Amino acid sequence: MARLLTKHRRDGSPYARPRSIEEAIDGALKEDIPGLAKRLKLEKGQTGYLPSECLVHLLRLGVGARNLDQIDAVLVVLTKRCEANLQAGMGDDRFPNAAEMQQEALDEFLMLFFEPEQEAKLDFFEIRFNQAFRALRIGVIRRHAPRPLMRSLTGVNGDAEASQSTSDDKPPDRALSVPAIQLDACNRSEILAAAEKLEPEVREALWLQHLGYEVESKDPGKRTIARIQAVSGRTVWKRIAQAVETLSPYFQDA
Amino acid sequence: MNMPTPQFTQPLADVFYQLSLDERGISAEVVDEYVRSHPGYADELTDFAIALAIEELRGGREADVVEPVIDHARQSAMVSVAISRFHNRLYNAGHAGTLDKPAVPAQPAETANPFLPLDRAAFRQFVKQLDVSTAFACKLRDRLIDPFTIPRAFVVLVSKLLGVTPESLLAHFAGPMVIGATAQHYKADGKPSIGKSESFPDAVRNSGLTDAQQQRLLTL
Repeated sequence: MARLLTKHRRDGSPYARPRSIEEAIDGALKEDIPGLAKRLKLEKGQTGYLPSECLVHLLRLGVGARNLDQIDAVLVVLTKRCEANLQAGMGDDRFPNAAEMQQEALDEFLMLFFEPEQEAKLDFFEIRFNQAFRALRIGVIRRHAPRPLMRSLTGVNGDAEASQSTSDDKPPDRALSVPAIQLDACNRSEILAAAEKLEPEVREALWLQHLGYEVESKDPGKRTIARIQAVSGRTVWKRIAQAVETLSPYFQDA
Repeated sequence: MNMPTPQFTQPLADVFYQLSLDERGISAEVVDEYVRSHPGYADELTDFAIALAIEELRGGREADVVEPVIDHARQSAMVSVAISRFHNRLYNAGHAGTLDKPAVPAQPAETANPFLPLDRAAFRQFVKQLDVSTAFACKLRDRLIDPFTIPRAFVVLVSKLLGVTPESLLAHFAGPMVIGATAQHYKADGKPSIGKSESFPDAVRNSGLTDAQQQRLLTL
């Protein structure tokens, strides 16, 4: 059985690998290097395929033991899988310096294996690799394209309408028709690209609504878009209406 | 509202990982649970949640993403560089003792300079087998060629001649320049001096290689 993970969930309970990952690790540990190399060439769906979570575990063991044969067998395949992931999630269709960002993400991931204070983060990659790698990828994206914390900025400057009563504000008509960002829309990438060009505070209001936040609430304990952005509900509605105005051509086409 | 005291007991990066791994997916309700647990990270978590939502829209839920099919026969420059850096770090970590004590023999020789074990005769034999000039071989030995520009096919070819893995050889190429660290001894005209590394094509053109040798190396 693979060693226990050390990371904990938000509620304090320890993480555990999914059973399928544990089984894959147990099976891989019984292989000699030629056997491991054979299995590393299998594709998902084929019997004996080794998921990326398992490869992370094997590479950690290899580095800890300085087992060069095991490292060489696993490292290339894992790195190629990461590359494919990055090309899909951090492509040059989104970022002019995509190649640089991809290399940075790849290096950052691989360096986790050597940083004593970071190495435990690999636990997350042994549980759900794609989700953990997504978090790492987002970190790189945010470093290259930092988003201003609009709520902080507006909080400092104040919002003239923020102190006004918000509960009676009526949303503009167009805002009422805000469509959820349509997951099945064939022009999804166009919608997302257009959303990227919105003013930061407008874009943020749109995305917060997409996440399910209410624009405003009488419940003082409830996090709403108005409270997150530190503006009045009326201002939020205006922002959302502006977003809808900009994006409406794409929704109509969807 | 009963807000708990701000807590920073967990690194922010760990909280990001937790949120990204949360099986329930990303929603205001889920984000607010994390914010209640880590009110000091409220702004960062909200930003991260937006980024997660955008990523989900772009690529679907990561859990649904099929593992990519990879090409085992081909290796990109990006992968080669990452692997080289990994081996360099492994090598350095071994020397610095920052890794756990190894359970297998300590640092294998192949992650060090693979030319090191070659005496003069063996190095000449290598030059002959590779069919290059001594000056060019010295540039390989002394890491005077930019590893980013070396064709993968050439790396594989040299690694076979030296009996090491391509990754180990790349790790060597990516290391700092060295001069005269090996058991070979050559006259000055065949020994390069320390300077800026050359690109592979430049090294091919500037190492006294015949036209045929240059042609062969530049078309790898």
